[in-house]
Amino acid sequence: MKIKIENYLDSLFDDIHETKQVRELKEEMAANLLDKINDFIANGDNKEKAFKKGVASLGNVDELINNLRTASQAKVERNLLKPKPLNKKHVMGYMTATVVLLLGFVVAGIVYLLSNNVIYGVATFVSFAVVSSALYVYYGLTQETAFNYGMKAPRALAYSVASAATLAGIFMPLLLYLNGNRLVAVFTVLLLLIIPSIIAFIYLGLTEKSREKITAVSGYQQLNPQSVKVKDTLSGAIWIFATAIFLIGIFVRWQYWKYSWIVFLFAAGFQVVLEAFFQSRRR
Amino acid sequence: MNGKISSDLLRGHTDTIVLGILQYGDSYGYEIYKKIIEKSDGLYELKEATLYSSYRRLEQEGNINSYWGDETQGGRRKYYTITSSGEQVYHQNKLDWEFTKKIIDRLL
Repeated sequence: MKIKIENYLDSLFDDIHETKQVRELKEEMAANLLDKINDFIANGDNKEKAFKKGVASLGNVDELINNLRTASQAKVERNLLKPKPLNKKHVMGYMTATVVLLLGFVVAGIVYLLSNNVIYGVATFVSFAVVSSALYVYYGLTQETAFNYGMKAPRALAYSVASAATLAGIFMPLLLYLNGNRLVAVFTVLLLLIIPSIIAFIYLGLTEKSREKITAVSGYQQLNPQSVKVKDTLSGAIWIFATAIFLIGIFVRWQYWKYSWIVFLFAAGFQVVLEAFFQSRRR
Repeated sequence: MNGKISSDLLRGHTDTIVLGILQYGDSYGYEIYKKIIEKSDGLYELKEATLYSSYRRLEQEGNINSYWGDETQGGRRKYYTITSSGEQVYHQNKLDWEFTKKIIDRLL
C-alpha cells in the first residue's frame, strides 16, 4: 500500500522539478494518506476502496502544485543568477598551480644557466608545467559555475592525470629525440604515456554525463535521436578511415607501420572532439 | 429548510482554523484534518490539498514551524508547531471575525 501511495504521489507531481521541498511534501502526504487509508480499512473498507477514497479526499491539488512550481522555478532561477564565488579550496588550488608554473620558469632558467644546455632547461620546465596543468585541469573541472555543477573528484582526477600524461607524452619524446636518444627509446616513452591516456580520454568521454544545471523546470532536453545517429555514423567513419590509412601504409611499404599507426592517435583525438561537440549541443 | 455550508467563506479562514488547532499542541497533517471534522461535528470536511497549501503559507509567513517525527513504521510524519507570531495572528483574526460576524448578523 505504501508503494502504491508513493507511486500515486509521484505521478501527481511528475512535471515538477523535484526539489527538496517537493520531496518532503510527498513524504508528508504519503504518511498522512497512509494513516487515512488505514483508518478506512479499519472501518471495514477493502484495500482498493480505501485507496480510492483516500485519494479522492485529497481534493484539488492544482493550487498546491502551481505554488510549488512557481517556487521551484524561482529557486532554480535564483541559483542561476547568484554568482558563485570561488571557494577556498579552489583559490588555493589555482594559486598552487600558478606558483608551480612560475617556479618552473625560475628553476628551468637556473638549470639552463648551470648546464648551458637548452634541452635540460626545457625538460625542467616541462616537468613543472605538467604538474601545474594537472592541477589546473583538476580544479577547473571540479569548480561549480553558474551553469554547471562541478565534476566529481575521482573523475576530475582521472582527467587531470590523463592530460598530464598526454602533455608529458608529447614533450618528453620530443626532448629525448632532440637530445639524440635512439628512436626506439623515443617511441617507447611516447607509447607508454600516450596510449593509456588516450584510452582514459575515450573512456571518460564516452561515459560523460551532463553537469548542466537544469534551466527548464520540466527537465532538460536530451540529444534527439537524429543527432545520436549522426554522431555514431561519424564516429564509425573516423575509425574506418584510420584503419584504411594504416593498412594502405603497410601495403605500400610494410616498414611504414612505424609511422602509420599515428593515424589512430588522430582518430582518437577526433573521437573525443566529436563527443565534446555533441555534448555541447545538449541544451 | 436546512442550511448549506458556505465553503468559500470557510476556505478564507483555513489558516486561522489550522492555527486554532495548533494552539492546543503540535500536530501533523492527518490529525489536524481529523480534528477539523471532529470540531465541526462532521459538518465540515476540508480537503487535504487545501490544508497543505495552508501549511506552506503559514510556514512561509513564520506563523508555524515544522519538524519531522521519528516514526519508524509507515513513514515519517511532519509535525507543525505554532509560533508566537502565529498565536498573535490567531487572536487578531479571531477578533476580526467576531467584529465582522456582528456586522453581518445585523445586515442579514
